[in-house]
Amino acid sequence: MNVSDSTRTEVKKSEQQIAAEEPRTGRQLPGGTMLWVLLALCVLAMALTKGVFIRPSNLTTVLFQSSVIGVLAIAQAFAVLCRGLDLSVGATAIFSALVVGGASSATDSFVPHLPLPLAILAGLVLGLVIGAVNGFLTGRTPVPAFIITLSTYLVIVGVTFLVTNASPVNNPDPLIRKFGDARIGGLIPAPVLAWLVFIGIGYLLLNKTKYGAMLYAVGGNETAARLSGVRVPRVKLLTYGTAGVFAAVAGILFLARTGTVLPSDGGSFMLDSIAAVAVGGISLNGGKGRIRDVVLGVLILAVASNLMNLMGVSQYLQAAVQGAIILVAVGANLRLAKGRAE
Amino acid sequence: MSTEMTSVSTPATGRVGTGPSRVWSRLAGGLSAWVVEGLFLLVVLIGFIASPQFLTTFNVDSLLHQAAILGVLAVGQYLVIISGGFDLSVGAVVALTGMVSAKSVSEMGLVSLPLAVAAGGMMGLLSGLAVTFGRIPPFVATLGVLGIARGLAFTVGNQGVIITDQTILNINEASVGPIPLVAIIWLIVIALVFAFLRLTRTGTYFFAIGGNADSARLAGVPVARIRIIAYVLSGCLAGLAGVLFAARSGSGSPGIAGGWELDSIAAVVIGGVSLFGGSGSLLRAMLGTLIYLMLTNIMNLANVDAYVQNVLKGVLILAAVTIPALVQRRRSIGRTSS
Repeated sequence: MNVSDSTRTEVKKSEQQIAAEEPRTGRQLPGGTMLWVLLALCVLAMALTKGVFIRPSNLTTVLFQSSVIGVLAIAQAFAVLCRGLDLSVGATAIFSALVVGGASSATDSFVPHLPLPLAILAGLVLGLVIGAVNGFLTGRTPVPAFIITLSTYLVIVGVTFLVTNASPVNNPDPLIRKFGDARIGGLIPAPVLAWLVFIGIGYLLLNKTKYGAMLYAVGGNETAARLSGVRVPRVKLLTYGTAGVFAAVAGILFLARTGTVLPSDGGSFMLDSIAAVAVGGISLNGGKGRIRDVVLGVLILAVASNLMNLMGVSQYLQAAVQGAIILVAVGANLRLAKGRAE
Repeated sequence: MSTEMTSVSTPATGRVGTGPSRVWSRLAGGLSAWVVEGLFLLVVLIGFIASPQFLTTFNVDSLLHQAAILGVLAVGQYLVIISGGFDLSVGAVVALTGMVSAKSVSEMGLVSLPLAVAAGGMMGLLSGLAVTFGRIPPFVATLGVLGIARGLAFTVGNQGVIITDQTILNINEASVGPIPLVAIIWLIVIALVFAFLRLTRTGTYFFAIGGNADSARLAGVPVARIRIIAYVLSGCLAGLAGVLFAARSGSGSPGIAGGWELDSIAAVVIGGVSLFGGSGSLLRAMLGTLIYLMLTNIMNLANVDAYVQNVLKGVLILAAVTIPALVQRRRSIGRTSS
């Protein structure tokens, strides 16, 4: 009796497991839930603004303003997929922007003058070095990534203010500004195109390389990954290194867009990047999520913010609404994921 | 995929401790029992040597005022951390409740204090519900609440409010003998929470769910309820800290206290509390608060540049977390995985 009971439950369990593994196409919306949320939000925005939202000039503005956070959110997604977090991405972006702007500037600044390609390279290397420090510490110590990157964040902000003496960088190479203002085909801003390129790079890294597979493995179950031979510390080193480089790219895009960078800029970058990743539906417990989700998360927050701007909602209330969006979206995503798994 | 990966490297299940590291870990194991107290005395000594002003009545008094505010905040953070979470919203809640008390004090007098504490408690409840019923990771849930609290603080008033009412200002100025009233409030909070954790069943549950939530649940601990209590208490204490800070600065301001959540986490962590939950002493966490503030104070007295201070703080937090974690890992090799 006992034996038959236990076997029966075992059979049941395995049936459940099989059911869980099979994709339930019937319950999922094509393109994922968040795509439909974005579309619904766009329809709502169109209705509420009586069509102002859908004007090409407004749409390109939304995309233009998302490009920096868009690349930064990809950096954050790498860390989150690896079951971590990178609180230093915003500070890294601004530090890199200041270095590139300062080095390519014709006037005197805190860094020696370099030709533009070398200045950009310096900014990217800076991002890589910061990311490597994060990755090394995250891989070699059992300390949670968020504490490590929190400490490096504090250090980066301190060093940034120290070396720049808190003064802004105003005159980057004119080519950088030209890039920021350029419109491809008279419509699509060049930074948006750069964003698309880095979405592509992120996609290739995650989906078409052995490293990408290992990243998902480590994020999903670190012990299992280690036992099957993945060198976890090295994967983390690569992950945070990549995040650092992407953050530096975001900083350079920010420089191109604004032309002036203050050491105190980018205060909201860190939270915005986490918000985008979370809203897009990437699991904060690691191992689950795609580049597409990050892009959707960025766009949903950008459209919501644009809608509130068009409707004249105060900047302060927007922070509260953004907080609420994060809570609702993450909660809903988790519920949906759970519903699908059961 | 797995067959591909086995060729990548030999599985490293954990390195066996070599001779010197075992000696080092045993030494550190013995030291860690009183390392926080030792660090505290060391910092006092450094302060005494570095600056003649460090142990003056004026400086100690101002240190106690700061310590009371950060200390009350750190008690709340401690409660959340030992039960296995984080509260990143405390800084924004300080700003919100400071605004609430500053706005309401002229009409309501001392009633504004419980009002501010209740406002903080509401924010904590929101975090707690998001973490338990929303199943959102604490980090993101309290980040969302941070945004909400900050937005509400600016909605209460987007300009600072000067407090003219003497009832609140008195909290900051009053003292019992040589000890400022705010420090006594801090001590009372510590005593109450200490007794709560030691003497009540709910108190022991905090450690149980922080140590291992699944075993605690199987043993019949109401995990969700305890988590919510932890966040509500943290919110209430942040509300109290908000009133204390409003009293100290003589105003409420919606933009203040950015980064205090990090300060409170740093204070607790320096006090040797495990970030993974389940262990750590409240009194050591309070010593950690004092150590953290004294270091800032000493750097100020020694005219260390504010930016350099930021760098040093970051390095300090990293060292405070990494070193014990590494020592513990060396000691527990073979016992645990991951």
